[in-house]
Amino acid sequence: MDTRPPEAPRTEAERHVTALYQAHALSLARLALLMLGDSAAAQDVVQDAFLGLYRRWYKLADIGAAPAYLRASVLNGCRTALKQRSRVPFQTASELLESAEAALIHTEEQRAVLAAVRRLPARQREVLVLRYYLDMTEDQAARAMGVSRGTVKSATSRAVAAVGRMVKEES
Amino acid sequence: MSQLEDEIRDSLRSEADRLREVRPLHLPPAAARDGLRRALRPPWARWQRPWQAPVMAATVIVLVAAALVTAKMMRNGGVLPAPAPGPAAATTARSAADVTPRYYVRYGWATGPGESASQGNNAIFVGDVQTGKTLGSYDLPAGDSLVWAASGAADDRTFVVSASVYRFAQHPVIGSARFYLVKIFPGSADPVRVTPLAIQATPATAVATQVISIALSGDGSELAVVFNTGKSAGLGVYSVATGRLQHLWSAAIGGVGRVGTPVTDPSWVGDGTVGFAFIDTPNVRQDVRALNVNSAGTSLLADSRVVWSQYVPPPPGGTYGKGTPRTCDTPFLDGDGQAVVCAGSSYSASAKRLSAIWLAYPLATPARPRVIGSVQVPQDVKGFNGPNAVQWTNSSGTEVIGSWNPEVTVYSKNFQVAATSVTNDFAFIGGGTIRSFPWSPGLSDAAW
Repeated sequence: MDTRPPEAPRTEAERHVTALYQAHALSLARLALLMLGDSAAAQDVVQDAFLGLYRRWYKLADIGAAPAYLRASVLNGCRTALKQRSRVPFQTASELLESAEAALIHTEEQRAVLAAVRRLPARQREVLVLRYYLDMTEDQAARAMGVSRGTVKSATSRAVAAVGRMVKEES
Repeated sequence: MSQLEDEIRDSLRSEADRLREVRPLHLPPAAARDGLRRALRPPWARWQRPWQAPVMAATVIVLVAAALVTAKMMRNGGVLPAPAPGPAAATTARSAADVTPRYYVRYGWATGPGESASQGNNAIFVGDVQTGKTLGSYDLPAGDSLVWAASGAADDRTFVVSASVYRFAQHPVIGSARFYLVKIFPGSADPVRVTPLAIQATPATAVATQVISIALSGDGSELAVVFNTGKSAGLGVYSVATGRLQHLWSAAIGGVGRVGTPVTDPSWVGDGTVGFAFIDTPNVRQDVRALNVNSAGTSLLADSRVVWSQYVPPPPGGTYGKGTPRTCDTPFLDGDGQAVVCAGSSYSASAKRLSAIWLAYPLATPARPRVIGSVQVPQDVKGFNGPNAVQWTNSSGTEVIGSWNPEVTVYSKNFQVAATSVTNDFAFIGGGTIRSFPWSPGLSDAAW
């Protein structure tokens, strides 16, 4: 629900960023959710990405590049959040709530796969999300992650094998 | 692509689909200009900081000292100024709703000696949760069945019951809803006193019109009645003392498809607002709305505002089965109007395990639900017989009386399947504890 007051005169940046938010926020939040496993944190990352775009709007040379900038910004935000989280040795309360709610939605097989994906190292998780959720090619994933194609290929292979192993152990 | 890769893809998509909406974007009004200003800050601005730091530190010390002096004065009998009334201030009567209820009403059949339940009269029963004892009963008009609703005030001693008698016939007829005031006087010779009320919410008519649910205000003076005529849903507010209809709002329900009762689960927030749940498109969205009962209009939707909404996943095959996960049943706006409290459930067919969960979604942070509590029926469950429910909640949405109804396979001694047992379980849930009722209040309906 949008509870904002009646629309006030907007700047060009506000209009563009708001339009981009309406078009891309949900898909970016889903991407962040897969990376972080926590919808609240995912939405925080997405809000930060759009706020960053808004602040730098007048430096953006090509408006058409904004979606790619936002996706890169969200992925960076997720990496930062995961690094900060790795310093916390226990599961946060929001993660526990999240898993309780998610338990109501997925099949048991999906729960097992998702649990395994969450236990992967951040880079392997990211490569799975890019390759299997966003359907990126190895080249596209390599560019998005700033690594070589070979790194993507090996990380994908190791991640899939690890997921298979963990699911098997779980069952 | 391997089967495992397919499973990863499906699982990721299923997880991503869980997120159906994002909160609105809040851009600070001058963020863009601030960014520019920071970039263009003149060099002299940098050396403001060295002298700002000691000034800030001195200011903080003065403020802390002032606060300590104020605190000392308070302990010595100083009087704090009265707090300004906040927008979410609940009435005094509603604050009493934080007392865990002791008494309940339910309906059942009053049977004489040697009579089976089917031979008895419909009756209202009043019971004590602590002792499990029935304090009294009141016979209702005879009929083949009963459409029943009840709600309690904050004092835990005052209830209103609505009852419509249903007669089986070639053209089934449902009687007009009659309303009864139930007062409880524990320890007296006549502990349960029932008075018929003058409220006339529905005419005697064909099956189409019926009371769906009612909510008694915290002080017991007003009754919100949700009813359904088949073509429209209505919400009326009546005076309990006089039976007078104070205001009526309605909404056409032609477009809601399979959902026969799009308006449900009314609750009072203070004494001026009624919250209710609304499903406007079947199996897609569920809203909780707040209605100012002093508003002048007559349109239930135009005069109320959405305070919370959630995507409702469509059940496989379009119908809810005994193992279909439910995300948020019986969504109630709590007494202080700050959260929506509801019940969810999931079922594992392979483990034959039922999980029930009660959640509170704060309106300010709906993406961060609080878990009030959860229970698991760990084995031999065939499904759940109807959704889990919130039967009562305190005004802050931190404690509920929850109910769940597992169908459990009962085995004989030689591990042959003997029977299916359906239990109606109730418990106080909250504060990290679950206190199960040592007995079932009877059937599945009771009101606290």
